[in-house]
Parts: sequence; C-alpha cells; structure tokens
Amino acid sequence: MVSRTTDDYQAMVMAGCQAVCEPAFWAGFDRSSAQGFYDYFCQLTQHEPRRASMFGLPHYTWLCINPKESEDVGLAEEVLAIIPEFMKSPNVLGIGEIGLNKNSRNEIAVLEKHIDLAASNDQLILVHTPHLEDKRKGTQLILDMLKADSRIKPERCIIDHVEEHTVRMVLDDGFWAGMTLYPETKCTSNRAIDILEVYGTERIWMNSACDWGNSVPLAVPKAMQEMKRRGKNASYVDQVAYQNPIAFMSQSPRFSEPEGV
Amino acid sequence: MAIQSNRIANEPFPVFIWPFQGHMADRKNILDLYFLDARARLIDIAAFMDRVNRAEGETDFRYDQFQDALKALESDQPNRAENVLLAFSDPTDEPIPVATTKAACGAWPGEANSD
Ligand SMILES: [Zn+2]
Repeated sequence: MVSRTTDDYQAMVMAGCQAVCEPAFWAGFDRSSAQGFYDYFCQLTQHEPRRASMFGLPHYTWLCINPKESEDVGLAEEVLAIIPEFMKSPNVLGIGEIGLNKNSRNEIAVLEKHIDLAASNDQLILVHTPHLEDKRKGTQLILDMLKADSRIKPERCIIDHVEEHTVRMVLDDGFWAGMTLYPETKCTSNRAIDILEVYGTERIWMNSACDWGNSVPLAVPKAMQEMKRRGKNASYVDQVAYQNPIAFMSQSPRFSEPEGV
Repeated sequence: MAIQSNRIANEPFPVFIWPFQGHMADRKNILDLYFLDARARLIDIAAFMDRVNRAEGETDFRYDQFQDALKALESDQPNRAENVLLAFSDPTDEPIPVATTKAACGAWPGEANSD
C-alpha cells in the first residue's frame, strides 16, 4: 500500500476489506543501500499501519529483500542482518515475499538465507514465484528448497502467484497456494475461480495486488462478485475470500481475527 | 429439440437466473456467462495474428511459442490453460548462472538466448 493513495484505502474499506496484508516488495527501482531498506521497514512497521488505521483497517506486513534485488548477495546479507530487529514489531506476520525471480544461483543463495531466518525464528513464510516463462521452473526450485529444510512446515508457508501449471505441485506438497489477481499477468478472477472449481477450496486463497504498477486493489471483491455470478453460495465465497486467509494468518500469534462487518 | 437455456427469452440483454447454485454448472450456463467475452478475445487473437502477418521483418521465439500454444486449444481435455502456460515456460530445471535482467518477456528465449 506504500505506493497507493488514501482513495484506495477508502475504496477497500467500502468494499468490505477487513485487513491489509502487505509484503516487502521491490520498489520498481533498486534501493542503493541497506539503509534504504531500514527506512522501508520503518515505513512498513510504523508509518503504513498508522495510515491504514485512519480507515479502520488493521495492517499486517512481511519482511525481506525481494528476489528482484537478490543478485547482489552482499547487499542482501546486510539487509538480512537488520530484519530481526523489525520482526518484533506487532504487525509483522513473517518473512516475505521471498522466492525467486529469474531462477539464478545468487537468488537461490539469498532465498536459502531467508528460509533459514524464518525457520530459526519460527516465522510464517510468504513466497513470491517468478513471472511468466520463469514460473514453472522457479516454483519447482522453491518447493524443493523448502522441502529440503526439515524445520519448514508446509502448512506455515504460502506459495503465491500460482497459476494452472503450478497450483497442483504446491497443493500436493502440503503448502498453501495464493492466487494473485492481476489484469494481464498472473491470474484473472475467472481463472482463479476455475482453479478453485478444479482443485477445491482447501489451503488456497486469492489476493489483490496493490503495487506501483497496473494492479487492482479491489480485485478480490470483484472475484467474489464473479463467484456469485457463477452461482456459488455465500458460504463458499466466505470460505475462499475470508475464512481461508484468516486460517493461514492465524498461525501467527500477531494476527487477530477481524471483528467482521 | 428446443435449446434450453437459463437465459430468459426475448430480453434485449442477457438476464440470468441461478438454478445451479451449489451444483456442477450446466454448459449452457457457462456459455450464457462467457461466450461473448471469449468470442471477442478469440477475434482479438485472430486480429493480432493478422497484424503480425501484415507487418514486415522476422518474428522471433515469442511468436513461435504463441503458435505452439495455440495447438493446446485443439485438445478436448480440460487442461488447455495449463498447456498454454507450459508452451511459454522455460522447460529446463537447473538454475541459471546469473540474472542479467529482472524482466520476463512471456516466452522462453531458449538456452542460447537466455540471459
Ligand atoms: Zn510477488
């Protein structure tokens, strides 16, 4: 939400959103130093929750250096060193969005360090899977790494941005799957509902993206509307759009179930 | 045989009722909901290919994979979307030595052209 206006917060509240869950993200440009990340983590843990609270929205966040900035392992190590200080903040749910971008060796090295940080601090994990042509291979590499660490419990990890060619491997291995709704890349509302129809509603959720690029903060409420158009009943929609995210995030002691509308 | 649909007859615009709540969707319901949208997208794809034809010069790996992906539509199995995605995917399993770009272009350039 750090690149979004108060109009977006207003619209989200009016559409019935109950909480915001904001992962550490690439800024659209490379931050030049660990100090830049320090300021960003202050923004995620102090300033943005205050901004969200002006609209009555609880704000949660995840911390990491994004895989898009993982090619510089030296910088990544400096950033990893400052994360523990922020993990104590009351709105931090875990480590994320970590993962891979181009599936390079350095990205893998930095992902390994993030997995270790999460495992040794008993944090939930939010995983970004690569874009477009890199997604299938990257998702498989990420799953293999998570499974190789015996401390990692799949039910405490959500593998985000799944599509038709990656959802099965994620669910089969016991992880949660996230479907990120975007107008062009990743998943559309209709395809997300198709995936739910094929794979069921267990350990899967949908999320809207609210980043600095072309993204739709109300994508989930729109998908809920589309589910109704397809004849899904209210409890089905509630399960997918509301109960499932609560079930996953409630595994963090920091998360409080929203009071509801 | 009369074609049955849950579209209410004689309405100028589609109006829908929901007899299939909680059950497997009926194919005609799906057509009522999505046929026009899918038809428009299909014409867009055809027009895109015509546009490529009319232009000059060479296409590249993206268009080769686009044409491969179209073959997935000829299948009668319900995993066409998955196969379209796989047609554009890097089929290799090993990490690349170094990322020289952050961007993905939507089709796999091949090992020779990859980063
Ligand atoms: Zn992501």
